[in-house]
Amino acid sequence: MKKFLTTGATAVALVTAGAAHAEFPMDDNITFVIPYSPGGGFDTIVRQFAPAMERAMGTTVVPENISGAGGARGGQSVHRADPDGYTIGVYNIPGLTVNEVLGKDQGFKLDEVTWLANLAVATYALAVAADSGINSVEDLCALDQPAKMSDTGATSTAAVTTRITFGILGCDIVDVTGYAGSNDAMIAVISGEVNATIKPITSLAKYLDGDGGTGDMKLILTLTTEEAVPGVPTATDIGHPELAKFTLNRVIGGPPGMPAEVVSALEEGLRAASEDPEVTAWAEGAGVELEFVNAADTTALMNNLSSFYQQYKDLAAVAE
Amino acid sequence: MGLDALLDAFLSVLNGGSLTFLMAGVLLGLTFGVIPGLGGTTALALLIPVTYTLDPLSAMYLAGGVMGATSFGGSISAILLNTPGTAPNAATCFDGYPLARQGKAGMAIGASATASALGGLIGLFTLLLFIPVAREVVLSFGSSEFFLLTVLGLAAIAVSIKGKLLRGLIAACIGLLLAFTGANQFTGETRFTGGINYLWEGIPLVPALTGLFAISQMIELALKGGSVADDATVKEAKNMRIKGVSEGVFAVFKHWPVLLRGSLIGTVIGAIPGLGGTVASFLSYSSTAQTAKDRDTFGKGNIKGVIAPEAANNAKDGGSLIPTVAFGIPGSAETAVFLGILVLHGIEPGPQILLQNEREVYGLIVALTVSAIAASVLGLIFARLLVLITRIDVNIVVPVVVTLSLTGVYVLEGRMADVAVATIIGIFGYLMIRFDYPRLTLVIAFVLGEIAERSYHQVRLISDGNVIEYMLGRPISVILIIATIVTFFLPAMRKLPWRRMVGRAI
Amino acid sequence: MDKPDPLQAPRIVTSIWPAVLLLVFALVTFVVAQGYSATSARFPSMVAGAMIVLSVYDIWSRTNLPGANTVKTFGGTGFRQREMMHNPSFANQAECLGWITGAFAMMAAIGILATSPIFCASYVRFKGNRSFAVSVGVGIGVLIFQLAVFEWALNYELYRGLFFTKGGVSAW
Repeated sequence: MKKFLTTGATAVALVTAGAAHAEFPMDDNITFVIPYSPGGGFDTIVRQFAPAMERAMGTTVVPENISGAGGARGGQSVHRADPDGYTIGVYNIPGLTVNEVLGKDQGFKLDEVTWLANLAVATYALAVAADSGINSVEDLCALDQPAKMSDTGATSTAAVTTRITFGILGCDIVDVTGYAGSNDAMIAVISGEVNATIKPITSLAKYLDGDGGTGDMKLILTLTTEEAVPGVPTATDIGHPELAKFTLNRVIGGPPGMPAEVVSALEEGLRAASEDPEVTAWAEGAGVELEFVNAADTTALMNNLSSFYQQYKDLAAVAE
Repeated sequence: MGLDALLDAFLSVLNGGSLTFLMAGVLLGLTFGVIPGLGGTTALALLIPVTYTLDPLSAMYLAGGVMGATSFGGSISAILLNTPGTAPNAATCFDGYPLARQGKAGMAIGASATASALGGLIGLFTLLLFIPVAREVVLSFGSSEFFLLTVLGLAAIAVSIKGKLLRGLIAACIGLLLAFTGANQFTGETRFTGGINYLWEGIPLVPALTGLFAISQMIELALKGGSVADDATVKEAKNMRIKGVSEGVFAVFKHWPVLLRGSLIGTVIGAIPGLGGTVASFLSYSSTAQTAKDRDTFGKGNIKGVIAPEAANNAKDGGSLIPTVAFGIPGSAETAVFLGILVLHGIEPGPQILLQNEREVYGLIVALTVSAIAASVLGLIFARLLVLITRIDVNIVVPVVVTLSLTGVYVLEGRMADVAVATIIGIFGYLMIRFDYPRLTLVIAFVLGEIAERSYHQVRLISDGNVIEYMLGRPISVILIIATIVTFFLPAMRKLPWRRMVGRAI
Repeated sequence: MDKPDPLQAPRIVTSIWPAVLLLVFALVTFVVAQGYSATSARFPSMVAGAMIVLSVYDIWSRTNLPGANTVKTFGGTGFRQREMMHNPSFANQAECLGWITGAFAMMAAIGILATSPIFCASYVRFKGNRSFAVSVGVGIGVLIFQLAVFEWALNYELYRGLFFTKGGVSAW
């Protein structure tokens, strides 16, 4: 309650103009749109953040699943809502960015979204089967035949990352797409169907050695600038620091044209929630890397991502 | 580990409030199962926000209760209304509905309840046996096996439709073409979407099935008028229905090989992520119908035609936990939601799930077991009441089923477009009934189509173009190829004269 | 509607038109599929191609052309084991389909919750010719079920209709 009072006070203090919004967020419930069905990664993080936001902002936050069209439908429904702060959503980034760069009409433009915050980041790594005898990227690229990789959809973020990464490295690969889920794609590596896969480190962790993992796979590269896993070379080590731009983000945004004071109230609520002990404890257990980024920096990040993928547009496109 | 934990889990269910959650799950599962359009996945998805406030174990009991009960619930509407309550019950309609029309609905429900409970138990027992080798089982099913399984399923279609092979194959083609709609998982290219981004993810399964079975059947019923059971049989059935239920129960024990085969097929298909209950129960039905001596009576009210799919349908829940305990990955839509609930509680499901979350996994297994039995017992108790549904004026049944199933379609994802799809496909389904094109072959092809296509392309890449050679090098693939050939030629072999003589001699 | 041999399928069912329509569908699909990349077009072309051939056989078996009987025997195209043995009139069928599309149109316009009791009650009253009391009873029963299970127990808001929701059809 005390926390609510102080946050409320900050929110009110931030209001300099626009009396109509003086009451935010007390007029109504905040609808938090999740662009996927219940049970997935997007759903989980929102359902963890919602009660923490309630504690921080003193209002009710209602998660709503609006799934379909690879996350575009949820984004559209946020886009249509009034920019009063009572409708916000989590976005499939960089999935939507990639689709936009590839010229797919998603019903709204990402640069019109009012970005509020980035909650979590996942970084990628390149993994091979532990008993494969492949110990480095050079080994992988020096196989008799082009290395086979496994991925879900051909336009999934991981598949796009894979194509661009090996394009930059100048290494010929065959990306076997169409696996039902990222777990299935990783199991294809373990069973020897394919040679390697690029997946978020947190997803790979359960098949690595140590800390509850099975030791079926090993990492040969992390797409980071600094050492993320002891003993595994980074993108910088192999001379391609730009590969660290590939991340999987949980970005929060709202409809175009939200007033500044509403943006800062929500930004503050999300920041407070990301420090909430229950949320941090959950993230620890579930292996989620929380990384709060404020509204201004998130907007910059989104523009950055867009131009990054624009630069590699040709590599990102599905080769036929 | 293993047994101690299982025993612990059983004991903790019996004393304490867990039973409340379990029974709540069973009731919800039965209700959602009975109503076409609503199914286990919908129930679980709706429950996720509710389970958030519970501790993980209670959430497991609730989820297990739902999972164990839906398939039996779905068989009730399949038998009584020729409208499968959940997709996997579609195969139960074949013989369940003719039985109901002959006034033997009680017998069919009795058999379905018993087969469901026993199938569920066999499935879970098989799961316990499989746990030590679960890893190998999952690893031995690659893209090649996926592809061949879909081929086996499609081959089973071709031979299981008697008297209308040509139209059955045409329906299967339509099913495949519908399955190819949307973004191709392999190339990412969108097909047949007409620029509608709703179709990017393809034609959604639940709305399509609800339209094809529930809505179209209701149109047909509305045109027929009267009530489901023939007027003549209603009188006759007054005596039948009382002893009918126990007759159905005994039939399951009498036909135990059917039960056993159904359960094994269910467990194995359930263990393969992505195939699911519809394929399991259909394969179980078609293999039973093909190998039975009295195969000519299938489709006309043979009790074995109820036992086989229902046993498989419940056994697949046990099977779908095999990939879960081996790698922490879901084997079915329901287990996917189950894992989602774990994540929601800050537990990251992984290959060590059985070691790290023993309580939750065994809790779920126990909940599934108790639920399968409880649902069946409830079903048996109320069977006589349920049978009365077939005597209700169709003018009341039709609007209620139409409304509730369209609501169910909406609730799954909250999309009105899904309701539109169900309506359109419902009308199309009616035309199929009217012009006598079998709907089930369309459904099986629809379910298998996408998997068939992408796993074929995967095998093509993995094998560097030598598809056949690659397949012949994999033992399970070889077994599946042989099974497909046998399936295809079995009916022809029966027509050979020597075969008939041998048959007569036996 | 006179009642001849119930095993004798109605003319419209055995006519060539259903098969012709399916042939057209298959042809259109085949043509559209040629516009996709080689990999994406392969399966749809194969299936549509097979369907074209099968539909031609289907049409053939429905005619009096030479060989039609052979196709009938080998292809199993008889109509003896039909799923739907009754033969409703065109007007009846149109009316029934009208009720179903009506239910959907009403759900779209004023929402699922409002449509459920109204549709059920009016169907029972006007299509079923049951008493007013029965009709209202069924309507109220359905309403209570929808409210109790979805709106209250699961706290799920059923669709409220185009008139009461923002976003129109694009929000579907």
